[in-house]
Amino acid sequence: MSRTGAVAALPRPLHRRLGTLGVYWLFILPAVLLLASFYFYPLFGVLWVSVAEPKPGLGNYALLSSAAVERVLLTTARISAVTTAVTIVLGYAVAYALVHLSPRARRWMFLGVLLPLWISVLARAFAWLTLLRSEGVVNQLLQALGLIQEPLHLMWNELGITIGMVHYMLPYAILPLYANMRGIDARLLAAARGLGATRLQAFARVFLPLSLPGIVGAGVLVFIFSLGFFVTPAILGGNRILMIAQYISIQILDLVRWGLGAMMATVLMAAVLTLMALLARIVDFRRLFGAH
Amino acid sequence: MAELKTELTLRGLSKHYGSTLAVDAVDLSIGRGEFVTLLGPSGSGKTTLLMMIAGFVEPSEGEILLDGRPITPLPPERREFGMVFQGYALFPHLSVADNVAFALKVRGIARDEIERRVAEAVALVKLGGLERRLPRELSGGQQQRVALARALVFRPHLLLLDEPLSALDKKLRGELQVELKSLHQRVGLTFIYVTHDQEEALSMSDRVAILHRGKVVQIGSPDELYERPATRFVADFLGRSNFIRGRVVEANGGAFRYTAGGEHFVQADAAAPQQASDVLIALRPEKIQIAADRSPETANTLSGRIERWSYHGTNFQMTVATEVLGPLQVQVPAWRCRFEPKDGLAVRLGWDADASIRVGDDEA
Repeated sequence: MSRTGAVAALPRPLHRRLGTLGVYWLFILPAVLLLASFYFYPLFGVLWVSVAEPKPGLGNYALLSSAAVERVLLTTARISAVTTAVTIVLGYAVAYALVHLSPRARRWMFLGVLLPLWISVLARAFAWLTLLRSEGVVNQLLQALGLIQEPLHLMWNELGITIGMVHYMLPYAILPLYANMRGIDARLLAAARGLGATRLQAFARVFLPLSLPGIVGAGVLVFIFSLGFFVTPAILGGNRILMIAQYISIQILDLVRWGLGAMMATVLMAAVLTLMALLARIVDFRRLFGAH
Repeated sequence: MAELKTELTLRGLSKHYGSTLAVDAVDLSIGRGEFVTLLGPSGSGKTTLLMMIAGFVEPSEGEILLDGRPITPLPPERREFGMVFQGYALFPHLSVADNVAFALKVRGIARDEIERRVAEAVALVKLGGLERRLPRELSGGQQQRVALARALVFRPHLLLLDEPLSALDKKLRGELQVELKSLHQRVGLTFIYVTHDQEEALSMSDRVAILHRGKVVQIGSPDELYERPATRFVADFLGRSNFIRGRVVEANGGAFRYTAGGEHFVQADAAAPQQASDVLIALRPEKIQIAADRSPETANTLSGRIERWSYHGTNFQMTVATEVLGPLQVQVPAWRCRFEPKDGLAVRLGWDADASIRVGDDEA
């Protein structure tokens, strides 16, 4: 037997047989299988139920024009829009401060921004409950100061839901805004000042336009999160204000109307996917989430 | 108002950052229409000085006067100085025309007036036809012109330029030096130019201020600085130089004799130094005459051997090892070199009494 024959008889290394890309596919195979069986399969189940229950056809989708469903959709859109607007304004200010702070102060501030992310959303919603209820900290304080006579209605309404949601969403707005602002060359602002622009003009004509991709990215992100939000609206809305996620939960768990619940879930998913597609046309996702 | 000869005056201008002194008590007067270059290595304080003039950096001490008026407390937007930044700092989201129009728009000037002046400025820097492009669609040289047009369009008191050519390749840099110089003559504006490139400084400026460790070491016309450097640093930074350390043995009207390495040399000097004092002599490589077969007919002569040599097209550069003064750099125009340089070749060197110059020793 020749020497080459002996070499050929050795098992070839794995990466030679699969190619470099093949090896990486192997790495993500478990995750793909997991997603397929526990995510995509049930998801298609939901889609299927929405056209199969209680009887086959598009009957569930016809309910979209019913008054109850319409109200839920409108409430959801309104709360999400207000939450997004408030979150972006507040988050923009924080991100702007973060960019301009000394590195030391920035580290502490980042801790402040990220800390809430490590606390359960449930715990935070109940914390807001103690703050906002009629006998809560905020109302007692305002009454003690004599600013109000009657307690303000800060929860069981859209205001309470919005407060809780803005708090939850802030880090998700601040991080992409900060990433975008970090990329703005500070010399551009100096150049604007040198050309005769006041601080305000330099901000409005140079900084703000250059931070627009960050605003759009953060805005769509927060809006999408808000659309499907469940815990905070459920606790701070107290069943009086129904957003879509809670409505779905009630349909399925309390009323056992699987078809209607599944239809609403499908509508929600379609809305989110449409928004994501729009976003992808405006901003570079990889840049927005720091993959570069 | 009477026409003032001096436009910008710096009086005892200093800037410290903590305990480090970035700019150290600089006094400087810049005349109307002058092209003045602040030249120095990185860390010499030249950019800090420019930023104080522009208003971006607040001086720790001292005063800045424009036409005799103090402007030290004014923010940059109220100084009306045009500025070209290092790397240009063009607004990436605005077209060429909008970049140029920026200074006019923030001043609330009427739209048709803006259009007219933008067209004028764009033509001045020869950018016609590119008005609608974005900065990233332009070459480095074109971006540089946009930055110039943007800084000139609002008719500033003076133009500040922070290393405007440093990002360009060598050939383009040469072309733009010529253009900048001619632009300066056409607009008749005072230019204050910061660079670390001595060639740029020499070829464009009316006057050059050499900065070293936050101080202005010497200020003068390019040839003055090159021919009569005041200190070792200036002689070394502007071009190259050999340095000879010696001791004065005899001084009389207009010249002195000194010893170095055990031999006597002659140095022309209007202000003769003290007998027996230590002196430092700067001798430019191109001012040394070199011959293989005979001694040059100069006041000072020396023998040595070629240690290294290289050919540069227009000239030969050699390192000649001498017993008396150690290695000396010599530069000879290639067409005038009467012998074939070879490693180890014995040569005679010579220079006239006024070919070298006594300089202050600031490197100690």
